[in-house]
Amino acid sequence: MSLRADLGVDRGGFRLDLGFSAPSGEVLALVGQNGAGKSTVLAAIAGLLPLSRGEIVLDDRLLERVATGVRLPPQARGVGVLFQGLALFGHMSALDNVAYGLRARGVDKHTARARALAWLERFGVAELAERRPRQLSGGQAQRVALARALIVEPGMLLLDEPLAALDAQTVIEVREVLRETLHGFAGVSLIVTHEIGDALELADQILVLEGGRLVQQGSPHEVAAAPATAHLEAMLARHRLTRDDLLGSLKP
Amino acid sequence: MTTHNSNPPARAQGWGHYLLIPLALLGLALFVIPLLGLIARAPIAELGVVLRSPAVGAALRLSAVVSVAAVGLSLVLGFPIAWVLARFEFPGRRLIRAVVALPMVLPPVVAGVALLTALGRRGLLGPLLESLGIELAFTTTAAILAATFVAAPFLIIACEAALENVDRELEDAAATLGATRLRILWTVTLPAIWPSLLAGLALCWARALGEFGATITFAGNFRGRTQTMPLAVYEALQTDHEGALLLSLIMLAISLAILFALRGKLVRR
Repeated sequence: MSLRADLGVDRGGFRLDLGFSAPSGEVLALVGQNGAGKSTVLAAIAGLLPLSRGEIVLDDRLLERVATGVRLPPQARGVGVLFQGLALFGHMSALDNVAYGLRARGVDKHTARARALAWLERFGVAELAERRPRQLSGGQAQRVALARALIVEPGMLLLDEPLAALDAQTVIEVREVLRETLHGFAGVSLIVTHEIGDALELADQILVLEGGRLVQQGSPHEVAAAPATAHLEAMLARHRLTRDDLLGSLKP
Repeated sequence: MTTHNSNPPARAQGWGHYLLIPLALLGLALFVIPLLGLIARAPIAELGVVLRSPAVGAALRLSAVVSVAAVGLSLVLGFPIAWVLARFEFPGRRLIRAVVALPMVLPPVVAGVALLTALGRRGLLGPLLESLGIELAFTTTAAILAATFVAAPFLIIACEAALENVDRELEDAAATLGATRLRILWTVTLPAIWPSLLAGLALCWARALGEFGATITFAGNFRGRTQTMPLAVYEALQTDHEGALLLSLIMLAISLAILFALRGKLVRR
């Protein structure tokens, strides 16, 4: 039970080339600047973008191997995605959004809705079941999107900048939800983020991406102690400053 | 001195744009005056008599049948064209896009001649159709085909633009949740483009209702079979001027009522 990924993508002058693996239950954070290839990694694992080289193996299931022409479509991968814009279906209630994956698997409407409601309850938003996505706050929408991704019991969870679009107060709240959710999740999770703070807080292992290549890989402690790039070092310094500010402001 | 200008923001806005207002009024007059002329000259007192005449009743019914059938055919055949153009990259896509839009700029008479030379009795496919026992020219089916030919591009272009603007993340999300391509189209894509689809249908229907040139060329002018309202107006104009005015007024009222009813629904997204 694990993830093994060897990813090569050539895409109009941009070249992604990296390999990593993780045991089940581990939370990976992929950090790097804009344009480093973070979203490309995510799209490749989800099956939304074909590899030009390499392979992806999840829990002993071969998702993709270029050499033998194996390529499972996104529908068959069992990889859940929390999209950056959440991608909630605007014309459906929160409940039907969550039930969508079960309905797509042929579960009848009644059962699918009952199970979707149970998932909304788990995230403490059951009372919002009948609302449309545009009637939800950022934090509420995030919970609905998480429930929608998890209800089909994916073998892996990909989260694209899950905290980027939220205001400061909601970030703290959603980060807590994410920590609990990812902690309880049996498969591998991969969080894409440009905030080193989120990576330090949530991840067991941090992957640092630069120009489509992996430049560092290690525990949050290791990465924080010896950042491999100037950009990472600057991010860490800024993170420490804001954290110290925050701690300082809390002192009497 | 300008230091004591009492209203600097207004000054900063300038005034040149006000020139657009008289031009807008002039443009409006161009649209409105002919309509007023029609209303002023039409013998409205005789409206009841004209509406009850069998020829007008037949033309109205036929216009309804032909325009609705043309919209249905445009949807069934046109939406797939829009979908293929929006979703697949293939050589010749730009050419096909131009061909599909062509009926919008082609004189309708030319469209009628083209249809006649392709599907008419002595047309390209005439022998084939004859051997199948199908005769198209000068039938209601021909009128429907002519209306579809000129009206479908409006639907196709509206749908293609909408499909290209759909947030692809929504479709990707549905795919990762296990939905098949067809299910995604039905449950995610179509609801997302619904307002544009509706607008395209309205435009398509309006164009089909007003269709004249291609119909009279390809389908002819036979009362009860191919004589739609525009053709009835044309015929009346040669014999019964006042009747033609009344028929025109009826067309005008129907079109205006439909556009007015749809407008609010279409523009809001």
